[in-house]
Amino acid sequence: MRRKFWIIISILTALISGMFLYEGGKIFFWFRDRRGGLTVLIAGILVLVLFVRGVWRSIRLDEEYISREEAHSITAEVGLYDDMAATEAKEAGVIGFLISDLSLGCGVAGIVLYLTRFWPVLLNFTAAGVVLGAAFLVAVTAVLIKSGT
Amino acid sequence: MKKKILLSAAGFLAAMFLMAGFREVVWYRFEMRPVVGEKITGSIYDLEGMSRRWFSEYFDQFKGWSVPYDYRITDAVINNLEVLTDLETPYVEIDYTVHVASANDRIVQNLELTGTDRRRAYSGQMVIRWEESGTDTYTIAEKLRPVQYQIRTPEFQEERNTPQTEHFQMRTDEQMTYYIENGVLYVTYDGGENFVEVPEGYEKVCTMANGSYNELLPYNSYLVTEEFTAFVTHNSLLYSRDKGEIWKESRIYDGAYRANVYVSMTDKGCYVTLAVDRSLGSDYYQTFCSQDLETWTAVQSPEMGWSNLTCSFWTKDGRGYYAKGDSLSMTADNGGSFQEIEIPEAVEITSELGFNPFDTVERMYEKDGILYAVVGQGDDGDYVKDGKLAEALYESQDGVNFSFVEEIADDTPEQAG
Repeated sequence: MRRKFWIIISILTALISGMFLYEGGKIFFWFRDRRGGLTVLIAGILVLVLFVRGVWRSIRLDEEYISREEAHSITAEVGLYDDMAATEAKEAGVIGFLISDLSLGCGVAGIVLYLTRFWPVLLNFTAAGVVLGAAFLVAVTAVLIKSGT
Repeated sequence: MKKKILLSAAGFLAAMFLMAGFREVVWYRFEMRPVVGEKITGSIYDLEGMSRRWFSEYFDQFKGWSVPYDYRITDAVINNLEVLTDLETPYVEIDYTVHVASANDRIVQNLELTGTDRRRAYSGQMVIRWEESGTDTYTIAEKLRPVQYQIRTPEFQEERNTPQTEHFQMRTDEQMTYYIENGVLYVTYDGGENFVEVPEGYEKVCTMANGSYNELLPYNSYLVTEEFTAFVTHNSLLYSRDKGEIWKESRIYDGAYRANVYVSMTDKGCYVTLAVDRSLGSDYYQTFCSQDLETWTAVQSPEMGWSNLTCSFWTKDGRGYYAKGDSLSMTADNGGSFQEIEIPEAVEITSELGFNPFDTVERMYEKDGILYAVVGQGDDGDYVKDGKLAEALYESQDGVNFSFVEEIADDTPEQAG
C-alpha cells in the first residue's frame, strides 16, 4: 500500500515539478522576467525534492518487500529472530519518516509557492515557509514521541 | 538499483516534456479577441455602464492558466472612465491599470501598456466608439489611442493649423549679436550685458509669410558691429550707424517677397539680396547695392536669376558669392561675370564615412583677411557628432581656392522654453 502511495506521489510530482520547471524556465529565460521565473523555478525544485524522495522510497520499499519475502522464508526455516535487527529497523524508520515528512513539506511548499506567486514576494515566500515549518514541527514532534517510547 | 534510478530520471524528463508540450499546445491555442468588433447587449444606451461591463468581460479572456505569459493578467481595473463629446459621435476614454502575471516586454507590447513604478502593474488607455448593431446590441466600431482622438478634435486641428513660433536662447559665442525676447528684437555689443531695442524690429524683421515669426535669423541676414548694424526686412534695410541710438529704414525693392535675405557691408557699399519673384515653389533672388543707403541699384545676375539661394555674401573688397545647394559662384566685377568655385571634399571625413556629407554652403564670413565658408549637410543631413549635426569649415586666402580646415558642430542656439 505504502509502495503504491509513493509511486503515485512520484508520478504526480514528476508531472507537477516538470511543469513548474518548464514554466519557470520559460518565464526566466524567454520572457526575461527574472523574479517571476525564479519563483516558479524554486517551486519546481521544491516539488522535485518530493519526487526524488518518492522515487527513492518506491525503490526501497520494493527491495524491502522482496527481502522480507526472502527473510520470512529463512526465519520459517531456522526459527531465528534478532532483537538488534528490530531496533535498527526502528531507528532507520524514524530517520526515514523525518526525510519523508520534510520532503512532503517541500512538495506542498512548492505547490503553495506556485499558487501564491502573484502575491507580494514576502508574503509569497512566507506562505511556502509556513508549510515547510509545519512539516518541520511534525518531524520534531515525531522524534520527541519516538524518543519517549 | 542503478537501473531503477536511471529509469526514474528518464521518467521525470519524459513527464517534464509531456507537461511542456501540454502547456505549449494550450498556450498556442490562445487567441486574443480584438477590441473592434466586440459586442455587448443592453436595453439602455448607457455608454459608461456598457463600457464598464464590456471592459470587465473583455479582460477576463486574459486570465487563467490557459493564457500564455505574453498575454496573461491577474487583474484589470478601471481608474477613470470618461465620455468624450468633442466630436460628432461620443467616444469613451478608459484609463485602466493591469496587473500582469509576468512582467515582460511582450505583454506590454501585446496589450499596449505602459509601465508604472510598481512591479507587474501597468497602465493602459484606450478610446472606443460604440455603434448600435442590432436590437439592444452594441458593437465597438473604433478603438483609438488618446492621442489619436486628440488629433481629431477641433481644438487640436485649430492649433495645428496655427503656425507656431519657435523661441531660441541668445547666441553666446558672439559679443555682438541680436537677441529676441517676448516679441522684441534687441541687439547687444557686449555679449549680453546691455541690450538695445530695435524699434518695431520684431514685426519687420521676423515676420514670415505664414504669419508666424522666425526668431532664428540666419547668418549673413544681419550685421551687428559697432560701426554698422543692419537687419533686412522683406523689402527694406533697417540700420543704425551709432550702436542702435538712431535707427533708419531704407526701402530697397517694393515687390520683394518674404524669403531668405542676405546683407553684406563692403568698401564699395552695402549689398542686400532679396527674393524678387516666386514661381512654382521657387524663390528668385536679386542683389541690390547702395553706397548711401538711400538709392539701391540692382546688381547684374545670370539670365535666369538666382533661385533658392542658401547663401549670398560679399567680401570687403567687393567679391560676391552665391551658393545654391552644392554649387558656389563668385563674381569679382559686380555681377559682370560669374566663376564657378569648387569646394573640395573633406578627404579625412569622406574616407572615414565612405561619402561626403557636406554639400551645402550655409554661411560665409571674413576674418583677418581670410574668407571662410561653412558647408553644411542640407535638408537631408544626418551625420551627427556629439548629438549635433556636423558642418565643415573651409578657408580661402585668394577667395577662389578653398581648403578644408576642420569639422565644426552646428551652432544653432538651444530652444528657449
